[in-house]
Amino acid sequence: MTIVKPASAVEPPAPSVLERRYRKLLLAYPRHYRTAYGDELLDVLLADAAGRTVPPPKEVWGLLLGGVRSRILHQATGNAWADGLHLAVTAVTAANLAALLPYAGTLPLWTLLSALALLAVQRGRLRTAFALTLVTGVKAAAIAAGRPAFDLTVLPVYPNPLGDRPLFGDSSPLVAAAGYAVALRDRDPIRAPAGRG
Amino acid sequence: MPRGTSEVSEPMFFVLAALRAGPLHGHAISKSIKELSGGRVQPSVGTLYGILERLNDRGVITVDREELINGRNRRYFRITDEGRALVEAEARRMQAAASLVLRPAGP
Repeated sequence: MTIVKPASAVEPPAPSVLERRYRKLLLAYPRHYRTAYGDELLDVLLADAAGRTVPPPKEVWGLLLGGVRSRILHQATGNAWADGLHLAVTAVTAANLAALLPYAGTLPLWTLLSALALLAVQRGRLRTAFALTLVTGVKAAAIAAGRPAFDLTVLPVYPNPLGDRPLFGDSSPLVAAAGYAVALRDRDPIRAPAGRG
Repeated sequence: MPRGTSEVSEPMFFVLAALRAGPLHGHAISKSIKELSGGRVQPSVGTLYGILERLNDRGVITVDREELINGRNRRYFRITDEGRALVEAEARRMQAAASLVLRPAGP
């Protein structure tokens, strides 16, 4: 493949209304795609435009679907192991949050932190998730051990409108601790491919 | 051999057919498909480029060169040997199927 440039490169004319509308639709595509091929697609889109100011529905639909398709393909290029681990950690964090939710009324702060940990994991911000999980994990373990940590909550923690079982009334605190341990082991940040999209 | 599925959709078939004569850029492919199919196959630009990318990933077409036109970069695509084999096999498959109806298969 060679790159051929003509002797004189002409500046493109000022964008028309139609071009601006097409450029907005092209936002459906990931940034790296737009940078590489956006102008090329625009060329074809505008070629048969002849006096239109509004993109025809078929082209609108094609660009939206094409953009989504590009974004999906872009997402799938990550390391499969990293993605699998990320999914597992997300599942564990979600389960921990679910365990705490019935007690949200009594332990609002800790439930909130657990929810934030889940959010951080989902967004790939594992350093944040690690810190939050550490804190909420210590709290959960402290409750299980019957020792006050950070404040005066001691077992049993009684439920509220969202649930009717005491925290750790049925399951073992070891299960919760094991869940946090799995999440904590995965401390390396798992990031989506950086700098694109 | 092409990777992945060997299914050839109708627009894909026409893209490959259009490129058999020589490399073309996106807009020329779009016009050629419309002519070859008698106006029947007219994918949107988004769909067309999705097809071009899929065919490129499968190795049945490839980028021949890029040119700067009016300050815009433009890719020219050409069919590969795998692409020629694929479209010819597909054409033969369709011919065999068509002859069941249009002409009884003879000795």
